[in-house]
Amino acid sequence: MEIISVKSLTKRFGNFTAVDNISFGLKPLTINGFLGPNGAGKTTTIKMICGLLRPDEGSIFIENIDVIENPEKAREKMGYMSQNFSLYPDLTARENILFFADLYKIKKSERDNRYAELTDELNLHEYQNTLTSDLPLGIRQRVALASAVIHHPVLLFLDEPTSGVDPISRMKFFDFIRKYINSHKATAIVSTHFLTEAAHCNEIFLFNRGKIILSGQPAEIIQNFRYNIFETKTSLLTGEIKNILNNSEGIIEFYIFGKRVRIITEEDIDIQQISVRTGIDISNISVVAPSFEDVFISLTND
Amino acid sequence: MIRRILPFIKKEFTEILRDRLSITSLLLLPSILLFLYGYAISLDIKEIKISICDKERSEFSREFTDGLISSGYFRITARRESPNEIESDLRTSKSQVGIIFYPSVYKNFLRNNEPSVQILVDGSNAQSSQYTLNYLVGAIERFTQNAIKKELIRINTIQTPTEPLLTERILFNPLLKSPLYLIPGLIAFVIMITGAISTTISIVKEKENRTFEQVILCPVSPFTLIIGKIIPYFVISLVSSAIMILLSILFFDLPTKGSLLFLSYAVIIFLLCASGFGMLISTISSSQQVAFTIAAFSTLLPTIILSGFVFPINNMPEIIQLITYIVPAKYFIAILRGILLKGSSLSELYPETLSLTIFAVLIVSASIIRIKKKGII
Repeated sequence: MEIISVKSLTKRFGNFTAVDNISFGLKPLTINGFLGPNGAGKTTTIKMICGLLRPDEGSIFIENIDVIENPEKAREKMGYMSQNFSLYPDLTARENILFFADLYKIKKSERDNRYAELTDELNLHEYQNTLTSDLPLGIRQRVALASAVIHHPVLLFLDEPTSGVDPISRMKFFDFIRKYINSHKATAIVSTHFLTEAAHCNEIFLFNRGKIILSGQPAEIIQNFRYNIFETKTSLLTGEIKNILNNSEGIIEFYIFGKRVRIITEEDIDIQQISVRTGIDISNISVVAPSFEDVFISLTND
Repeated sequence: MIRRILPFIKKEFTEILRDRLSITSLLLLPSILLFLYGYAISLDIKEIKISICDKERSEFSREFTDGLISSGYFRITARRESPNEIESDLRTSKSQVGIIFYPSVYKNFLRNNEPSVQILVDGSNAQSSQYTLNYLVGAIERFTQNAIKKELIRINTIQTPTEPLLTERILFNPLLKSPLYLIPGLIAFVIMITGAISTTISIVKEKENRTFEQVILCPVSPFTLIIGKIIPYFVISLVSSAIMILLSILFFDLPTKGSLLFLSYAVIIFLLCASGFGMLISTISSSQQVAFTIAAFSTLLPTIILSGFVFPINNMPEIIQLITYIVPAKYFIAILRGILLKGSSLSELYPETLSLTIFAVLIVSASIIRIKKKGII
């Protein structure tokens, strides 16, 4: 049984097609990662599922509720955290969280219990009475998360929840989401352009130019990756590297970070062949396990 | 519904009260403006500087100038020999009015020929030159009547003393004080700032900060949200208007003759107009800057310029006079002047009250339809 079912969803802004005829279904009790670069259509898709944007074509069902026809009913089940950690800057962390609780008409005693639990779990005690405009980004992210879950939604939409946040906070964030999903029998959609965050998800959906170009479980996707990945250190200039690799056969794509170059090749090319074809000394080349970046780059290679 | 609105009202008040600058300006700025208009900026014309070139040098010209001076509005700053010097005085702002008496002016006047008095007025400030001209025309009319009367007595056509040909009595604002005349306009101005501009900016600010996205995902209808936003500014506008009326009574002897109930009705209806404008503008603006510009041009400027607040509507070109019919502030100011200065009742002001009420219904309905159709984000 799918909790969210999306069919042939399309959204255009003028001549630009932001989301192009996508279909997918989500299972309950899962974290679903919408991965892809900025402008790939992740946020637009989330906004349409939440009922914030009306699609041009397609259908969205949450359980049996038609979101396009009946967005208000669907929203009762949702919690949403936007990529800007939208909070009222002139209110304190506590006032922000309680304001959202009050909008859901949660009884005062119950509201205070939930607030106490959340401040404990998200370590917000010392920031309760600070204006959110004075809080560092990482703390604001946690306040926004508390505001999004205080009414215990069973569907959690987290739009770029980790942008600008340090790696430790990102890890803690996913730990909290996992616990929340299990204890509230919920489902989460997390959009991110950090492909490394795919590992935290049960299912991932790779977005590019408004389409889902790949979906599945992260381990499965890596297993099915058909290409080889090599890494080499070099002191050559970028122009020289590009010159060599662009003229070598069998190379799907390469990318340079710092003094290292990562090379994606056809699966029948081994380390010796790559050494011969590029003229790089074999001792300077290593075989590496594919990451989601590699998967994404190989798929979007034109 | 009320349980959903309350958190908004509480939140909005917390935000407004925390932002000291905005709450101070919303509550105190109107009163500062009131004192500024009351004491510093007066539209009354006093001591208009005159340069005179008197080639006639007769009793006629002396009486004419004495009459002007005794009115209290004019002061002779220069006596010149040639008309050219008069023009030069006007150019260098040594005087605002130049009067030239040509020789034999009185004889010409009596013989029904063209009298040869020339009056030059500095028109670079249209507003004050208009007032100056009005005073001058009044003074000339009075002088002419007296001169005719004297001549008739001299040739024994009538017996002295006669009844004056014209009597004047100014009602409702007998001292012709600008502040009293301007207070209703100031109230309209303040209501437009708080009711329309502050509401619009606060709604659009939420769009910009994306907090609306967050809120709209709660089971809250857009109307609950908008009403929750409008009520605090509504209350502030009422408080601010009350402060202004109170200060006007204390410092400017505002008579407050009319009904308080009628006054409250007019203020509330005009506030609804302002809030309706605010809502409409916020549905079409995506940034605070755009919202402010649209609001200032569509609400504030007409309230100042086209409502009769500062500039009399009767003096405007006909086409502009027609446009003033779609400026709600025009009706509101007329109603307020009626209530506050003349003690007029609803039966005397019903055309204005009806027009204002129709406006409020139209604007609020238009904004509701717009929000239903397009949403608020």
